[in-house]
Amino acid sequence: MSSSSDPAGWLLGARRLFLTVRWGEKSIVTLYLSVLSGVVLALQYDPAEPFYSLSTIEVLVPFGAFWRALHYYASQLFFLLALCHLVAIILTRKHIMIPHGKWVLLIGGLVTTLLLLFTGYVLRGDATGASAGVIAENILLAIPGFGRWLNELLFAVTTAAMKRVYANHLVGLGVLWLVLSWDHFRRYRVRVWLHPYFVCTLLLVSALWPAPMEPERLGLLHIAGPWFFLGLQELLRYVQPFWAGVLFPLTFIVSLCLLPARGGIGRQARAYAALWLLVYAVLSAVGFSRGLV
Amino acid sequence: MRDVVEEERGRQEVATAAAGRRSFLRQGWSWLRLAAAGVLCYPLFSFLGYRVRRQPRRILVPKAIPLSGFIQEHDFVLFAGEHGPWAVSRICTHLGCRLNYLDKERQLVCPCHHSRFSPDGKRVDGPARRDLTVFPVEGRPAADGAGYVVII
Repeated sequence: MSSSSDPAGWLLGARRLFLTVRWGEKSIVTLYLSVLSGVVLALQYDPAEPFYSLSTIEVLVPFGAFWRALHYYASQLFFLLALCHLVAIILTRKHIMIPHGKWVLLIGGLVTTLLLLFTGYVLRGDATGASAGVIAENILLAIPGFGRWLNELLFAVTTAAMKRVYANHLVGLGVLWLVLSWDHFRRYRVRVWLHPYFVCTLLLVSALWPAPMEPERLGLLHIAGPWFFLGLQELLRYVQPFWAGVLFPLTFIVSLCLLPARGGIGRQARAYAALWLLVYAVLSAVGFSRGLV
Repeated sequence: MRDVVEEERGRQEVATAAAGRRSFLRQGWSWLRLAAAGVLCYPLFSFLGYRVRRQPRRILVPKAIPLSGFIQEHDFVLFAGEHGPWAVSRICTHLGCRLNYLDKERQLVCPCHHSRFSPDGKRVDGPARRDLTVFPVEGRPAADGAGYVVII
């Protein structure tokens, strides 16, 4: 029996505490807030002049900074809480009870969520957003064969500016997310008013802390990508875009899809996913430290 | 008795053949839908991939190059030297980020992955493999004041 003072006891306690939180429910609350604030923002945002439009919303439009911050924080939280929900499901081994086809669709939903977050960054049109857009475009173009098609479908920022990113952020990726996650999502109805403290905290944070924005300026020497992109940004320094930007993340997605598999394949997938996360965390930490210098 | 067994076997064979036909037709229908989706991709991507050929743009820089020897514009950096003015693209050849010119180091530096280029566009360091594009520059008549036209 482990005592509360030894590390194993602490770990068990932390695990128990982690599993008491209803992550899925909280993530749905943030999804509702993200969609609501996103619709409000879209009524003012103009993709023809992204940064000008964003600055106007931030500085001139009444409550513009609040709605933008709410959309930013709610969307980030939705992704993070969905990740916690996924970890909780894996820790309690409930994922092996989900039919494999549905599991793969749910992983697809998670990847789509990440793409929604990423296109949100690009739509800012500031130094970070503009760079993220062209990097994503060039990574897709590095895929032999259908890379050009994928780029035409998702980004094409060089030729179509923000048109496609905007259409995908607002409609295309949202519809794809619903198609992939609907079977899972429709089972849960969450009442936002049953989470008053959580919602009030999020509203307060959005009112007090504006969402980040990085204007282009002379002598800008370092642009840190979105937090989930830092590891990839670091890897792109050393490895060709196709290997770093396509194959490396793809192996992680495949390993996630294979997590519930029984026997050796499942074990190998779990080991690979853990190792991948460790490598990515180290790369992200190195990438983050460059911003501090 | 033997007739009954043979009749039963015959019935099973007919049923098996019918099930095989049904399964074949079902699979055929699935393949047909998949093929139709594939065929529909062609008009979709033809539509998305269409681009109007871009005309060269003439960007006017309506000022003289200062003593620092460069002017940084949105798409290029304009330099002046002994042999006249020249302009290099600010788009990094690695992954397309916008470069900044560091006067102290006399280099264009990429803020994303830190590729470095000399003022004449040659790659110096970093993950980029190609040199920068150099744009033609035309001087403007003196009567209009000092200035340059960069064709990108």
